[in-house]
Amino acid sequence: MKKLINDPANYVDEMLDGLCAAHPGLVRVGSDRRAIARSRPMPSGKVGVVSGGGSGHLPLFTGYVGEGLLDACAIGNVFEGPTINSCQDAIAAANGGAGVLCLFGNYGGDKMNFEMAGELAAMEGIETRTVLGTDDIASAGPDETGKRRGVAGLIFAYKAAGAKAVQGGDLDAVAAIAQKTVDRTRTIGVALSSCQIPGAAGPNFTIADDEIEMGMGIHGEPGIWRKQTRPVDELVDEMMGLLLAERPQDARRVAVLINSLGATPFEELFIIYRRVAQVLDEAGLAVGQRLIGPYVTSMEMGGASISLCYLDEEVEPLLAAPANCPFWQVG
Amino acid sequence: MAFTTHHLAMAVARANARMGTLADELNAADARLGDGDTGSMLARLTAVFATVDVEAQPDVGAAFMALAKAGASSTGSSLGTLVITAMMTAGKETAGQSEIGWDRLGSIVGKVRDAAMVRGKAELGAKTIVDGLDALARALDGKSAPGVLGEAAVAAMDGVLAEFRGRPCTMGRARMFAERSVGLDDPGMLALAELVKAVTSGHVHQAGAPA
Repeated sequence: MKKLINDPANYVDEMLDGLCAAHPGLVRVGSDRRAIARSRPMPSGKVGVVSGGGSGHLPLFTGYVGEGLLDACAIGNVFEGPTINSCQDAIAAANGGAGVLCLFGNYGGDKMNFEMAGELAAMEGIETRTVLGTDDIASAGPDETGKRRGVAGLIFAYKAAGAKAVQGGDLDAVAAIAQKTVDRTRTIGVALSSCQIPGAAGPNFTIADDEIEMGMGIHGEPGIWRKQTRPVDELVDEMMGLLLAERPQDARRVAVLINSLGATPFEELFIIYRRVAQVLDEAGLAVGQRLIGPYVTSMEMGGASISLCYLDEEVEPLLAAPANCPFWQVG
Repeated sequence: MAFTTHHLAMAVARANARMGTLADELNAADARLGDGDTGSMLARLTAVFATVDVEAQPDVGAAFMALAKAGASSTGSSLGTLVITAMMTAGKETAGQSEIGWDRLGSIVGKVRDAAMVRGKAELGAKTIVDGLDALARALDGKSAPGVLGEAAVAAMDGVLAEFRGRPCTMGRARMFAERSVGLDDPGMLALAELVKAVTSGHVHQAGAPA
């Protein structure tokens, strides 16, 4: 695959340099400069919200550092968790003296490194809580939601937790709303074509031109099935059927995210949304917020995901609260 | 002769040299079960380890800790973090000691296994690197001659791969397609086995001689 890069070894650092140059509200921090923080000082007494994960998913993870969202973010190599050092650096950057919520996807390396960083932060008097994004319904069954991966729906938890922290919520309250948002969010994706880690000898996975894979993860983890492609309305119906099967009983409204995995254009995302809106209407669910675009990508991977965040009277106002980061502005 | 920073430096050099050819093999093995980057990540990690002046450290414990510190800034992958955890554990076990008896290797590997289980929240039998560490610890336990240790380590690695090859992976990313993992080696276990063979090669062929 062709890429517009220099030395693959510099891919992440050059990307971060460009991101911060383009958005002066962001700065690289830490000994390895593998954490992104807001250039404004962390307000004293505010709960910090941090995330982290591998590169290759922009705007996730670092792109959501900003007002009403994340205060800092640790970033790893492509498709690799952030290092212990960068997790420590992100926690330190987000420390306003009221504790720090670590909100990230349910992946082994990310968990271990944030856990170790949290232990080290505790030794420095920084209290932390952890909430894991577990929205990918293709990665484990409804009886094992704790084993599910975190994918695109994680950004709803960023938004709710970030807004709660701005409102003055304490660490327990911010963690609780993040967990509630995670618990009410479901995602499923479909992959059409692969991506390639810079410097790798070949693509991350192979898929025939006439095939698609339902439920594939954002790193190319195998999904539910691989079959020949079909009209998108049929795919959306199947995806929505799986998402709506886990609808909470009290849900009457949803926030919707139609996300491009990288290569799929806006045109196709709107075709997807057209059918999603019809299905939601038939299901008696009103749309409170809609996001359509590349919010969580896997570099040049083709495909899309659908996320539903089942709203309630607490989550919806937080998603609607003002926020401003390079890739998401509200209010 | 006991285990010193010289032996640790040789082990790091051998592991790093082996990764030159092993990286692609591990990437291919990982691509069948995950995202195909295990080899590249370990190659990067061993290359960072190789930049550490291990023999310049004041004792074996400090040398392991220097490797852990270098590794902690180079990778955040789960397997990489387990390797760093192993270095930290070995560093704590050998802190302040300029040499350690060969008969302690089994015990130290056992501590590494236990630490990996805690950090990775892994259980034995799930077909992960932890099972490889367990086999290695049990094989080294009670032995003190370098050549005997080397031969036991290699036999244990071949044995554990064979024992688990036909089983499904039940944790980590590979658990999501457990059926597909039957007949395949776990990439982490395979990496451990191949690196153990590389590190112990001198002992296997020159029983009793320093590595």
